Amino acid sequence: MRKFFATRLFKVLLLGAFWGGFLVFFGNYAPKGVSNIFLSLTAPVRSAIHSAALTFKEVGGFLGAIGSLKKENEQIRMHNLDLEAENALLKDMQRENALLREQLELLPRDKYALIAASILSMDEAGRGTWIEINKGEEAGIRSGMAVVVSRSILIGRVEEVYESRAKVMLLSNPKSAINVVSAQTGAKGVLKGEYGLGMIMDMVLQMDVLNKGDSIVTSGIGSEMPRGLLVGGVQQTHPSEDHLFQQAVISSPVRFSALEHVFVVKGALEEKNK
Amino acid sequence: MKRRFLILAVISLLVFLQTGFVAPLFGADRGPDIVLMFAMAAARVLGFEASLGWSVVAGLVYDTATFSKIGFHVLPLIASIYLVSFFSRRLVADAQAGGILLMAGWALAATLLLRFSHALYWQKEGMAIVDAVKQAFSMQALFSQWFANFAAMVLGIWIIRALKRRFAPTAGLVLK
Repeated sequence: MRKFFATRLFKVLLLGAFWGGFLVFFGNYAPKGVSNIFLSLTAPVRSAIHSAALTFKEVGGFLGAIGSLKKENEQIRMHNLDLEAENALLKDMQRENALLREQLELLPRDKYALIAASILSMDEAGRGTWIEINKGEEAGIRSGMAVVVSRSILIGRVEEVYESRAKVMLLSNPKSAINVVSAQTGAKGVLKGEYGLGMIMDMVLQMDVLNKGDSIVTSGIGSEMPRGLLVGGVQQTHPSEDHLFQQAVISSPVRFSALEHVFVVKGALEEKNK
Repeated sequence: MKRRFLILAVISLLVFLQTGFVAPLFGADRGPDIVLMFAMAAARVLGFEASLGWSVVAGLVYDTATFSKIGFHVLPLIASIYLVSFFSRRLVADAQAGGILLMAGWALAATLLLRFSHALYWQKEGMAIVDAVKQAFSMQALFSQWFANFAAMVLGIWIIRALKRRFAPTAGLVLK
């Protein structure tokens, strides 16, 4: 018996039992003070590592895409023409929209105070469930705030806030649930992360119309999330398992793994129009 | 003391590379787990006793950096250290070809373990168990991660051997 106590297997079992027991019975996270000091001190290194990864990825992607650049360029040119035409139409609608909002005493769009932040790290398996940003309580960030890119494309919301950093839960996180609406048809639903692999719009009523290509935006109902932030487009629709609702697979216009900087929506910048 | 700080810095760097470099570069569940691979490489080069304590430290650093519960990464690390030590003593690993085959075997075992943990994760998040297993053990995902893990382990062994040689005149990388 004494011999067994000296074996490697015994040492591993002992350590395993200790840490396994700690995990099961306590389930504690690293003390905030310790993790704050350690991760804040190393933030510049982590930021540099993340930037290097994106540069590396960009160079690799560029080298791999050289062959298809001509074809892609032609497609982009055609797409650009379409967008220019659409833009002209939207400008007219924007003017009309501004007038209507003024009459309804609504807050103008795109008037949010944004806090720029760099990404320090992301989940270790690259599932797109969370990212860590380099701004926290000191910058006025609070739990629940929306996180966007390119002014109004929603990517997630602040989950945990530390002194000088914060953890952001991405939309593809299975724990994420946000009220959304189709910009084209007004169909309402709940956007959920799907196993960290993508997003799904759930709880859409059977009588509501949801088409492939529809833009899905936040509805602003029931949370701190502002209204009108784009989350993605409808890729395909299908009935839910119980056939009570419709579901739609949503594709985000941004690749979460390719992000370097994000913006936290701090709040409305201007007072309500009188 | 200086050596301990160096090892701690290397462990921290590995964890930061995993969360800041490997994850965005490879995408969802495709990349290697370089912390696990380097721990296994350390067990191969430095031995069980020297790497066990540091694997616990690596697990704790990993937990801290990934907002995980304490102990979550410690368990697979100490289990893998033991497996490497167990098979190193029983299988011929000194011959060049045998050594490479053994490393490929460890990398495969670690990859299967990681794929299994992915399947558990997806199942826990609501995916049907059959779909979770299918997705986790798809040939493309399995082979790409195996290859990446194998490459990381070869690199790990090479780096740790170089570090060992660098510190050989004093006492070696032994936790005391």
